[in-house]
Amino acid sequence: MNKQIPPSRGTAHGAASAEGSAAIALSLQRCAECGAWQYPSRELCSNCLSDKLLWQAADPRSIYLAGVLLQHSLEDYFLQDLPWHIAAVRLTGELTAISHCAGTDIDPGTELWTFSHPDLSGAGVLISVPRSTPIETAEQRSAIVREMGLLEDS
Amino acid sequence: MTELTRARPMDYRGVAIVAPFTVPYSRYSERSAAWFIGTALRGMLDETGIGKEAVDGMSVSSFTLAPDSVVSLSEHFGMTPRWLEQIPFGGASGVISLRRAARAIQAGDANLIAAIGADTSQPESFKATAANFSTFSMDAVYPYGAAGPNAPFSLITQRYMDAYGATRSDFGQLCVSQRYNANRNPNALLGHKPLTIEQYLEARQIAGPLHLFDCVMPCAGADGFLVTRVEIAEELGLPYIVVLAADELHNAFSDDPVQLRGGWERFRDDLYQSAGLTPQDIDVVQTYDDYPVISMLQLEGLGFCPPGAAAEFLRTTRLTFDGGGLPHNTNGGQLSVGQAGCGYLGVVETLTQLLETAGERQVPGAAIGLVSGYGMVNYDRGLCSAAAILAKPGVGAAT
Repeated sequence: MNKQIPPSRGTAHGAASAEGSAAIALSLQRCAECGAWQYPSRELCSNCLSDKLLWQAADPRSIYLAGVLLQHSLEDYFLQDLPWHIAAVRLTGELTAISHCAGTDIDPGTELWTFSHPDLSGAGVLISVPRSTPIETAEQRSAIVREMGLLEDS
Repeated sequence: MTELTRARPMDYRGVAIVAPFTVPYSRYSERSAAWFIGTALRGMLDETGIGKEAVDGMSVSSFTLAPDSVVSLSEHFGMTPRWLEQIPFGGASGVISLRRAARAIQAGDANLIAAIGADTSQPESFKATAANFSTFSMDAVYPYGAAGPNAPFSLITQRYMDAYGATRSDFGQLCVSQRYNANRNPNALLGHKPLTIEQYLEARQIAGPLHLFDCVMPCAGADGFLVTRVEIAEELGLPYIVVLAADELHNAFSDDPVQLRGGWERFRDDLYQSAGLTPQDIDVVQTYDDYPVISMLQLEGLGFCPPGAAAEFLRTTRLTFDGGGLPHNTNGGQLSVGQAGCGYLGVVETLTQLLETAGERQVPGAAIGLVSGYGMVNYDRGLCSAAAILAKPGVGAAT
């Protein structure tokens, strides 16, 4: 199947999130001055306005806040794989992130894993999966992303 | 220094709003946003008999005016204004434009300000707006299914349903009531089509709980009004409406995991106290309805029902213009009129109702109206909350 490339209009800060995500499950920006985690990625800390934001390994445990199946997309890439499951998840207890979601019939409050991984366009995206799904190794995570259709078909 | 004590906004005494005007909406147009803004301006001038030279201020909002801006329009329209403003706050822009213009009138920075919201629409323009909406959206929303605003709003709607037990039928009550109102509005793009609750429930699914009739239709059109001093309006013999209170707040409750409330509840007590009114005194309400749940957040935030209770409120309160309950989005709202022009639609409808020029959909005796705005889902929630209470002259506290 000749898949198109997923939409990637992201900023340089968003692109930075793709770097290093192969080695560790989840990397997020954290302020070196006040310790606040940041998401979406940015240039200045939303708490203290410091520009000393470092990409750090973050706890991949997340909570499922809400999820939906998209039945429509503005991009051809997703139109061929509808319905598409996205979720709002809570990360590090203080951030809300929208992510791709691999599970089905997930109740609000369910504990998940959320990891970052480049999609086919090279953009770093977040993937949420049930806790029963192993994500310890880069190979496991890449297999999940490939299974979801976010990487080139093998 | 920590957070300062919040001062209540000063009154809006001496400000008159005249000449609400709509350039009828169309699904698509080859015209530019500038054409719609200028056509609205001409319409207001024609209706009032005011010359273009008398307009010394202009406040505009548009998602589709770029690369031009409000100052470009001064050259397009051959004007020499001494006061210009461009309000980029999405669906809160209409109310905030009104606030800014009113303050400029009070301060003497301008005599007569045209406030206009307008958009054009082409088949690919909505995708371009959605794909490039904000840096946060580009990095952290659009890559996840590229659903445009349906993505964050479907998540908000689902969370609201899970938290409060609201059902699709509850959202349907709002949509069906608005369509009933739109059926009496010749400018409503969908006003020629009836909508039953059965049709609503059977509609095509778009994103999670959102189905076809929950999603606002982007289109082309313009809404505007003129803001001036009371003595000028009276000298010209123009019927006018006054501002009893208005306020706004941005990025409120940013720690809430998913948006279930906006900034309205933070300023509503001041709003009603400034106007000397309570929610029960409001004759007609316009909320910003890009999706039904957002109207419900506004009804809750502005004290028409408790937090989380809008579904029950909708089950027991008729929202049609003639239902004897709470006349709400009496022109059909965006869900039936269409979406263009950043929330000026609700301001124009409030003015139209209070001037008693709403024709078939007129709420008899409407003297006090509330219009609220909500805008800019920069990432996962709308950042801007605004509201204004408007009234016929001589009604309420601040006239």
